[in-house]
Amino acid sequence: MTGSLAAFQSRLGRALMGEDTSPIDPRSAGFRFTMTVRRSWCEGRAMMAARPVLALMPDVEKRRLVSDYVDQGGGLALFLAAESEAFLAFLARRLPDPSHALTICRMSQALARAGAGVSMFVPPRQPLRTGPVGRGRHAALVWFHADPGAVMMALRGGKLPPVGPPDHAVLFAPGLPNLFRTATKAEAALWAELPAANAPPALIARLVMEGVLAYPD
Amino acid sequence: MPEPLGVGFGCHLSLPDALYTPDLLDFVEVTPEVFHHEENVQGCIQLVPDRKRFDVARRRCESLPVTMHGVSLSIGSAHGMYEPCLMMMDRLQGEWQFHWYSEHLHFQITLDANGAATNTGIPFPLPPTEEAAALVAGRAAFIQRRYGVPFLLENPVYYLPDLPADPEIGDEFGLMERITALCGCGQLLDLHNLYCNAINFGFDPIRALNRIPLGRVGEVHVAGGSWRDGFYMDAHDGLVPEPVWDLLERTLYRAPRIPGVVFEILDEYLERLGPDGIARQLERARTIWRRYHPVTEAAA
Repeated sequence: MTGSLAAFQSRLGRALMGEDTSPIDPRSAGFRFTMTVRRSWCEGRAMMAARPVLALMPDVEKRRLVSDYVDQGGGLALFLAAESEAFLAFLARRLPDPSHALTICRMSQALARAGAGVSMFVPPRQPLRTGPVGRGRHAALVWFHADPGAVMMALRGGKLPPVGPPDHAVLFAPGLPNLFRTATKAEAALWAELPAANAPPALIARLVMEGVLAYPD
Repeated sequence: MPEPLGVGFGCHLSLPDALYTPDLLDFVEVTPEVFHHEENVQGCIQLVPDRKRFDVARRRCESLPVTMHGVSLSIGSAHGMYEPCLMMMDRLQGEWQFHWYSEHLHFQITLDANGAATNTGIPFPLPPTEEAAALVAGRAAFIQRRYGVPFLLENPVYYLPDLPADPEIGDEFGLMERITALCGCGQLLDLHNLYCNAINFGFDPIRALNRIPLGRVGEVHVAGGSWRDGFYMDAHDGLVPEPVWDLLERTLYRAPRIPGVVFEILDEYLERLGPDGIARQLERARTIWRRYHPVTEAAA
């Protein structure tokens, strides 16, 4: 063989990124089919990585976004969680605001972040301390532009409700049962003001125990 | 090689528990990556169990022997294997007993122009060369020592033509033979991969099978595939084709001590066959298996 294994792999890898370095004839049917399969795997990974968001979108739009993502080098992660993180971040920049798809995208990001925090989160022994309290590292608040139950039903094939004002807030945090719950108006207002020191202590204590809020280390 | 286990199947959580009984299966082949995710732990990427799903998988398999079939090691990457995979296997070794560990003879990570590891997006075959054989054999020997169980390498499916080759190795069969001879690891003989390559590259699968030293085969895979753009793909999307059942018959006829046969199907195609259709594929594999394992049958 001419050249080393490392050189072969490097040249093939660079060819996949569009460089004219392929050690295999790029015009051959086998090379072109390999690229087709690779593209299909990348798109399939992206589709799986953001299934709920894509479920709310028309097919044409869905295919366009997936294709754009793969064109920019997406769809290569070995593990689904990493692919989801990257693709959801891509979608969050591209989806119309406001839209239910963007809400579900943010919800998916928030769920992933809260889930990632579960193994690290321990409710503090003393939930109240002096000084301003901030957002928990793995917490998020997502505004829904319709009743969240109706939006979730649409994911299962129901009709999407019209996009209205952001009247429904949902909290996500590692200490919440199932990682989420509806936020009260007071909680949503507090979240918007963070970091804050002047909220009712009982409210702060509860949110700290849930991982929604945290004091700086 | 370990004692024969029989017919196995992957650990698919969406299927009913009733499928995972000794009445239908002799062992479960677990792909551990399915129950893990990558996490940056203090600056180091680790594969961390998705604890809930991992525990469900363990309960699912508790009445049956288990083997591990990894998909992320990238044993053929010239710059190095995917270390988090080895760390995952280190942890699993103490947590979940397995009879053998298998991986794929391919690479799926390369270095980019800046020297950073990057995924290729699809597994690629190794060129049949002395250098590739020596590299993989050294790593396979290391893994076999590390885990104290047989380590098997699966022959790959691929569509790339004209891989650069050393004449003394020749082709994919020569490469696998050289690796297993060098390090004493075994082969996971994927008959559907062999069948795909035979169709796409125009060689006779039976003659190819006759070249394989079956005494080194520690497991056999059968699966279904489909056609696309003039190529027959290893899609794992349905029924095992008749020629592959025929290859299984020939394999077990020649080598009845092969420890296991596994029917493979991807999660997204489970509904296509349904539990009953899957059970029929497993029953057929078992029928063939039992033709060549009368002792096991008598014991049962």
